[in-house]
Parts: sequence; C-alpha cells; structure tokens
Amino acid sequence: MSLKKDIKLHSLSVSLVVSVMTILLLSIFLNFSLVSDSLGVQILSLNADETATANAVTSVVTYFRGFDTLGEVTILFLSIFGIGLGLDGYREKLNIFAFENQLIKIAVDILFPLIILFGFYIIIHGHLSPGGGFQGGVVIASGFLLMFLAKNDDFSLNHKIISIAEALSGAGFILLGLLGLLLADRFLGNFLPLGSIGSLFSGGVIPLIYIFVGIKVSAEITALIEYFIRIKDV
Amino acid sequence: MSLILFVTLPLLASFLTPLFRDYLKYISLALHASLLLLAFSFIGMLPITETISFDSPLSISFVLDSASLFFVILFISIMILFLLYQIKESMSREIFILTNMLIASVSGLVLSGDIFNIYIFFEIASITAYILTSLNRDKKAYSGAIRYMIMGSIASIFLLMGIMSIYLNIGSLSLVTIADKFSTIDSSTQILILISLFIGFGIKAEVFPLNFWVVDIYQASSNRVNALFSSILSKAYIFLFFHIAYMLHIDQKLMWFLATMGVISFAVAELSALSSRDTKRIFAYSTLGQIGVLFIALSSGDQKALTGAFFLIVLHSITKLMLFLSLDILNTQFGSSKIDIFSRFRSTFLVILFAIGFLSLLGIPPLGGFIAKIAILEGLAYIQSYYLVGAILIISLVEAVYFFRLLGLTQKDTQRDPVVISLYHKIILGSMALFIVYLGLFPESLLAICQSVASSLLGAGHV
Amino acid sequence: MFDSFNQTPFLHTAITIGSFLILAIGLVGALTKKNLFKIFISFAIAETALFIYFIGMHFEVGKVAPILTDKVTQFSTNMVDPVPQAMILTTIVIAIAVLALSLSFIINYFKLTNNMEVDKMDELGEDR
Repeated sequence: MSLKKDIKLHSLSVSLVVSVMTILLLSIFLNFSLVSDSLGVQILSLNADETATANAVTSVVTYFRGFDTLGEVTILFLSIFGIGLGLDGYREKLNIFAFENQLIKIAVDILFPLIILFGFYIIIHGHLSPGGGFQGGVVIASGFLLMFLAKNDDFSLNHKIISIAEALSGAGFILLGLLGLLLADRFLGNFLPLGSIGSLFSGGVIPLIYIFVGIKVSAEITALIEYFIRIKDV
Repeated sequence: MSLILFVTLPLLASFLTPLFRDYLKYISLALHASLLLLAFSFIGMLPITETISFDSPLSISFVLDSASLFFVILFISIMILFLLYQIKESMSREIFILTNMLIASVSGLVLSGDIFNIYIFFEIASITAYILTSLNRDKKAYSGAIRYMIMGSIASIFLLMGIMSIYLNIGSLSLVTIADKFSTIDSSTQILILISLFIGFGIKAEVFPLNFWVVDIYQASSNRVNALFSSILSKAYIFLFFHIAYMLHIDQKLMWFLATMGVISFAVAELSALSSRDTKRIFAYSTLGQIGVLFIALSSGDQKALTGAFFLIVLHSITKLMLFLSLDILNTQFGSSKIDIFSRFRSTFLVILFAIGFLSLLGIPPLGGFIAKIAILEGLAYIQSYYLVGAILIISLVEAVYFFRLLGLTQKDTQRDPVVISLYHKIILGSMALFIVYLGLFPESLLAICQSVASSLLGAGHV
Repeated sequence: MFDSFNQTPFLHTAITIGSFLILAIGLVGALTKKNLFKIFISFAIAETALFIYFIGMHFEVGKVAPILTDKVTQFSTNMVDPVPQAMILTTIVIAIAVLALSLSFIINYFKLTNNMEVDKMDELGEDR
C-alpha cells in the first residue's frame, strides 16, 4: 500500500514539475513572430540558379546540408549494425508471427513488384516532386514487410546482397562527395551539368546522392525488419 | 588537403568493412596514422575555415583553430595508442567500425561550425557509445546501455529544443551568425536557449547535477571501452560545452554557476569514490572528479587557468588510458573488480604504473599532474577566487585518501598471485607512464601549446 | 465561419499549445513510467511534439510548399522555409534509429533477465 503511495507521489511531483515547465515555455513561446531573413529564405532565392531542382527541400537536404544527410545515413547504418550485433543466430529462429491469410498470399505476387517500382520512382524523382531517398527507401522496405507477412518463414533475405548494397551505396555517397572536393573544390560540390529545372536529368549530383541514400535506407530498414521479426526460438 | 577528411575517411572505412576481410587492424592503424600526419600538416596554417558544398553562411562550415586542432591531434593519438595496445589480438569487425565512428564523430564535434551539424555528430557519438557499452552482451552491459540511452534521449530532446529555439529566433544555424545575433534576442528566450543547451550538452559533459548515471555505465562496460570513454569521449563533450559557452558570450554570473557546479561535482565524486568498494566505479568517480576540476578551471575565463585545464586534459587522457588498461589486465586475471584484487596481485610493474597514475592525478611533483594543478590554482588565485582554490585543495585531500588506500592494499602482506603481462603490453603501458613523468619534468613545450589553445578558446566569440 | 480560424496567429497559438501539451505528456511518461517500452515510446511522443511545433511554426496562411509545380513556377518568398523541413527529416530518421536500437537492447535484456521494469534493474550498483 505504501509502495503505491510512493509511486503516486513520484508521478504527481514529476507531473507538477513538467506542468510548471510547460507553462513557462508556453509563456515564452506564445508571443512570437518568425524571423524574416532566415537561412531558408536566402536559399530559396538561390535555388533555381545554383541547383536547378524543382524541390527546394531536396536541394537543402542533399546539397546545402548534404553533410547532415551523410551523418544521418551513418546513424542509420550504425544503429542497424548495433542491432545486428546483439542478435546471434537469427537464421535458425522463426518469425514472431505467422499469418495464414489467403488474400495476402495471392495479392503479394502482384503487389510486391509494384511497391518496389513505386519506391524507386519516389527515389529517382526526389528532385522533381515530394519524395526522395528516405521516403522511397522506406516504401521499398514496406514492400519487403508485405512479403514477410505473406510468406512467413519461407521468405528470408539474402544478407550478402544487403551488406554489399549498404557498403557500396555508403561508399558511393562519400566518393561522390570527395569527387566534388577534387573537381569543384568543395566536398559535395556540384560538378555535373545542371540541366533544366523539371526534367529528370537535372540538378547535377543531387539525384545521384538521393539514389545512393535511397538504396542504403531501403537495405537497412529491410534488414531491420527482418531482425525484429525473426526472434522466436525454435 | 581538406578538413572533412577527418570525418569522411573513417566513415568510408567503416562503410567498406565487408571488403577488408582480415586486414582490419592494419587498415585501422594506417588510417589513423595518416589522419595524424594530416593533422600535423595543418599546424602552420591556422586558422582555416572550409565550407561544404556552397558558400558560408548558407552552408555548413568546418573551422580549424588552435583549440580544435589540439583536440583532433589528442584524440587521434590516444586512439593510435589504444589500437597499438591491441595489435597482437585480432580485431573484430565491431571494434573496427566503432573506433572509426568514434574518431569521425569527435572530430566532427570539435571541427564543425554549424549547430545542427554538431547535433548530428553528437548523435553519432552517442550511438557509438551505446553500442560500445553493450559490447559484452551480458545483463550488466544491456542494463547499462538501456540507462545510457534513457539519459541520452533526454539530452537529445533538450538539445533539439534549444536548436529549434535558436533557428526560430535567429534564422541561421551557423555558429558565427548565432554568436553575433544571440544578444539581440529577448532575454527570456535567451535564458530558455541557455538552459536547454546546458541540459543537453551538460548531460553528456557529465557535470553535476546531471551525472548521477555515469558511474553505472562505467561499471557496465568493459575496461577497454571505459578507457575510450574517459580519454576521448568525455573530453570532446567538455570542449564542446565550453566552446559553445564562450561563443555565446555567457556572462559572469553563469560562469560562476558553472564553476560552482564543478566544485560540487568534484566534491560529490571524490566522496563517493571514498566509500566505493569496486575498482571500476572508483576510477569512474575519479574521472567525474577531474571533470569537475576542468569545469572549475574552464569557466574561470582566465588564461593561466585555461592553460592548466588543457594541460590537465592531455595528462588525464593518457593517465586514464593507462589506468583503465592496467585495470583490464587485473580484471581479466581475477574475474572480479572488487577492491580486494589490489591485495591479490604481485607485479612490481603494475604497482609502479598505478603509483605513477594516481600520483599524477593527485598533482604530486615531479609528475605531469602537478604542473596542471599548479597552473589551474595560479590562474584561479589571479582572479582572486580563493574559495575555488581552497575547495580544490581540500577535496584533493579526499582523493589522496582513497588513492593511497589502493596503493596501500598493494603492499599488504597477503597471499599474492603473479600477474602475466606480455612484454609488448609492458612496453606500451610503460611508455605512457614515462610520458607522464616526462611531462612533469619538461612541461614547457606542451604548456606553450596549451597557452595558444587557451587564447583561441577565449577569443572564440570574438572572431 | 471558418475564416476566423484560418488566420496565422490563431494557427500558431493552437500549434504551440497543442505541441507543448504533447511534449509534457511525453516527458511525464518518460520520467514516471516503469515499463521500459513505455519509457522509450514516451520519448518518441515527446520528440514528435517538437517536430510538430517546429514545422508548424514556420507555416503561415497563404504560403505554399517550396516545390515547383504547374501552378507555382518560380521560387519566391511566398514559399514555406525549406530548411526546417530538411532538419526534421534528418531528425526523424535519427529518432527512428535510436528507438530501434533501444528496443533491441530491451529485447536482449529481457531475454537475459525476464525483467521489464526500470526500478527492478539492479544489476549495477555498489555491491554487484
């Protein structure tokens, strides 16, 4: 009985402290107006000339702040690697769930290629419409998740292909940046012809960067899905 | 030659790990040696600012000045020593990837001139640390890793809040622009940003009251990982904390607050070490105590104290590397980390190593730690913070008690087993100890370097 | 009738209050809950609140997305700031990575100790 009282007291005091903090924060943030000449506004005015991409968010993600994207790709790589370290012998384990759904089994053979194609479409058209490497990569991974749900234990990934895809796309990103260092005097400098806004072959290195990111993200999230599904002991 | 190579070459090596098969340790040593040479090649050319992909301030910039070059050289050298220590063992994939990621992220942390980029490297270093903690894969390791992740997530959230407030109010992410325009924001938002950044960076820099979780993490990881945490990771976060603090021109009262937190850190850590019976935890408490001293010295704003602080950073990194690797030998031999293992081993070599390490941490001449402490105390006395001088001296007495207790245990008349240390390990550890003695006898060149680092840090916001 | 709601200050106020409420819920959950899963999901909730706040505050009524389409043929100041969107993209991926890693640690820890409560985690401490 007294333990429950202790826990309730602890929760109550934490809630009180957090509420006070929230009220203070609200009082600071509620009367607020945006800065008018922020970084984004300056980038927008340069975007058409410097990068010839129709999607300003893509040009910010891959070009103006491309180094952050490299760091993000590294974080994903590290975390999937860390998950893989802790799981031993996952090939001998079974899926944690097993669905027997005829509708999915029949539909997956049609849907899976379509989903993968759609994912690649999103990756490649990242500089023309909303989308890009991360978004398309996750779509591709969801296609693989569908395969797992449909085929249960019969479907397993070829980890050689996944690790080669990861390694080559990650290295490709960095080598692209280093090429930019050599040819355009800055890391991730744009050294390919810019083309015209709106066509598929425009934007210089930007679509290439997003393709590398997309392949890496899809490989990693697919591996992540499999790591979390195959944990039931035989 | 470009600054970003410090970050991208280790990343490239980590990504290409599947291709390297059995040559991991040679590639790792070659990579770090070439990075060290690259760092030395920049020595006459300071300061350098390099932007990535587009002109600053629209894009990310990397800034190399004396302080960042000092830390890059320090971190890579410690990593090379660490790798050399392990060269006779085969290097596993995970150690290869994690050590490369560690060097890439701490280099990015000290070199980057853009606050969101710093957040990214902060996260890479955190995830590397989480995985390093869990490497042993037993109950303690996972328990420690989970706790570390809880504290790290809190730090992330507050840091994000700070960065978002900065962008919403200033509109730029480049540190130079933020430093210029910080004083133009209204004061309640300034306080909010400072508190968020203090909590965010302070959790990782391990200052009181945000460091209650650290010792458990040291207990959960293996001693080699503790060596890396203590020598490389904590120094990077402390430098980052004060780099941002000096850039934002924090006023006197806040610096006094930081110094007080440093005193309390030092006191609480040393008193806890006194009552601890576990050698890993004792060494961890000692690290926390030295971090407290660094906070006192770095927040004083005085050139001499900061010189002493950087000298102490070099000394402490090498000393803790040596101490944790020696503790690793003892732990593996006896399978326990309780304090009584100090009365169960017989090895004159190890006793000398521990003696040199402990006496240097205490600041006893003629070892290097003495020079560092004297410089710090002189600097503090110069700005007439006598209570800080007194606090450091009194709390060092507590430190002396438990270090001498450990040394006394090594001389007790009990049943002792000899410790087997290979000649190669003796050479590496012995050279670290000799370097500590050398720095105590001939500190002039390192002191001169630390002086220029100190002026660079103090002048950081005035660029 | 809805035009009075379609004003920028109202929108900003609603977003601020809403997201800070969610942030408070997330932080309270992270600091008081005992189950390890709940703690980390609460962190995810708190981070989501920050994302909503950051992106929401950069939106003003009448502005369009920073993408060229058939109707919007030029980049102008009538577009929303693209930098916060890029920052949040990156931060979402970081949050996913950290969450996935933490969940895998929880799974491994549970397999070794059968314990999911944070206050029963007693492997580390003075006398272990």
